[in-house]
This record gives sequence, structure tokens and C-alpha cells, in this order.
Amino acid sequence: MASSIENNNEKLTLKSSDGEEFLVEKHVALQSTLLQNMLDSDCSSADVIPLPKIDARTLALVLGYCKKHADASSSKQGELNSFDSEFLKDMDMGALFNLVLAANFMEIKGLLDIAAQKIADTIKDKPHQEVREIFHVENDYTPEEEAAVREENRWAFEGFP
Amino acid sequence: MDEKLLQQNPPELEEAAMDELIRDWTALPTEILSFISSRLFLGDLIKRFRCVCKTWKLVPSLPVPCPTQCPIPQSQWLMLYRGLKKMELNFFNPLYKDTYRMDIPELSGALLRCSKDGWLLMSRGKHSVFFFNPFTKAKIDLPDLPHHYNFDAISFSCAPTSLECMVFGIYAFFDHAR
Repeated sequence: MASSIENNNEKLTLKSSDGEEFLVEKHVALQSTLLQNMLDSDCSSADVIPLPKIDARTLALVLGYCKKHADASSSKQGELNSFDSEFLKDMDMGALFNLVLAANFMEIKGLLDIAAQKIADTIKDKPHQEVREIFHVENDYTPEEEAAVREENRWAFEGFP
Repeated sequence: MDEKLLQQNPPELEEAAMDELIRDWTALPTEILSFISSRLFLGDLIKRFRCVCKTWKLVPSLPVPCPTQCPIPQSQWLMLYRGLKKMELNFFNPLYKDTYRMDIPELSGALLRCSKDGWLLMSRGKHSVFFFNPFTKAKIDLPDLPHHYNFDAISFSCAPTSLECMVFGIYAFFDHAR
């Protein structure tokens, strides 16, 4: 029985959590360390690789990123950088949440980097109350605990703008 | 009452809110949260990220926050120290034109001798030399010098948390290194 991966033009089929299938060129899939390891260890003889944690919308985004980076030559770093910044520009927080999880799960270092940076940029220069609202995080500090955290870091609260 | 609530929350809004609630940003794997927090610096990390909730407060910082795709490593900040009386560290990022000021009472009366990898090498008085990390506030005392020292310069090779770290002082007057 021939291995399903025989040459660089071979394609893989990835299946999202909601059952949608994506036909992907092998060199694009190799952007993901998870998939690379699967291919290396020949776990990929299955026709379809299920990605049960990633929905179709997110997987389409991830594969768009992988394709761009796989196809670009290393001399086009500037072009890739502008692609990266455009890629996340108007993304809503929900999509970003799914994307960072997918990048982490599929081990796509570059995508994880830019997604984490985008999330960090969202936090910068905003009062923590506003950060809570943006991320829908419930404040689980009691007023006393919150005061204690502030006290503990008083040097920062006094020292920084 | 119910009717009023319904009017305030049209179904599509409620759905969007529900959708957001499922995305629990505190339930992200710790490594992702660490990854995010390691991209925040000083005030953003301490005043904002850690104050949001208990989970975020406990997210460990990555030891080497050096993202490969980040245009400038976070370590590339210009630090200005106004010593002795004011104990004030100023950080300036030339690219973002971003400035932070940090007041550090622990450094009262100490002289900054060298800085590297986020660590300050300070001296105080005639015998005491110590490392200080202004971000973690960790202090590493070096053994007191047995004799009154008079180094013109003191420097170190790498972060004092490394086994490789070497501290050396220079007497310019005698024209040799110790």
C-alpha cells in the first residue's frame, strides 16, 4: 500500500470541527509543525486528517496564512510583513480568540506570534476596567483583593503613566 | 420587566453576547496567555494585564520574551537612570516613542555601574555591589568586597541568573583589569 505522501505536489485533506473538508498542498501544510510531525511519523496515511478543535471559518483563515507564507520566497519578507499586519487588521476578538487557539494547536509559530502581538496591542494603554470589557472577563477580585494587588504593585502605579 | 429586558437585548445582540461569553479569555492555555503577557511591558503588564483578573495575574512571564517576528525585541529600550536622590529609571523606546518612568526606592543611594539583559549592576558605599532587576525587583547581592574598592568601572558578561555570569572591575589608574 503506497504512502499517501509521495511527492511535494501531493495534497492533504483537513477536516474542520464542523465537518468541512479542505484540500491543502503539502508544502502549505508543512507550515504547521503539528502536521509536519504527523507527516514525518507517517501518521498521515489516513485520507482525511481531522482537526476537531478548529472550525471551518478559522481553518480557512489559518490555511490562507499558511499558503501565503509557504508560497512567498524568503526575499519577500517585507511583503509578508505587510500581509501579516493586514491579515489581522479588522479581525474581531472572537475570530482572534479562535485563531490564537488554532495557531497554538497546529503549532504555527509565526501565526501565534502575530496573533499574540495583536491581542497584547489591544491591552496596551487601556485602563484595566476597559480591558475587562473588551475581553468579557469578569472581575473576580474582591475590592480588598484588588486594593492589595494595587498595593503590591504600588511602585508601578505610582511610577508609570 | 421581561418585556423591557427583551427590548434592551434584541436577539441578535444577545446571541453575539452569548457567543462572546463562550470565548473565555481566562480559560486559554497558560502558554498562550504567557505568550501574550510577554509582549506587554512595564505599565501595560503590571497595571493592566495583571489587574484584570486572578487568572491573568498568575500567568507566568516567559523567561526569554523574544518573539522572532516582532519588529523590535522588547529589550531594546533606552534606559536613563537619575540616581542618588531621585531613584528614577526612565525607559524610552525610540521606535514607539514610548516612555515609562519607574521609581525605585530600593535603589536609594546606589550608583548604576552597568546594565544588561534587564539587570542593573549597582554599587552602594565602599563594599557593596549587587544586581537588581527593576521588573521583578529581584536583588542578588555579591559578596562584600573585603577591601575598600575603587573601581573606575564595573561590568558583567551576561545575566546574573546564568552560570556563565562573570563580574569584573577595572582600575584604570593601574592600567590593568581584575
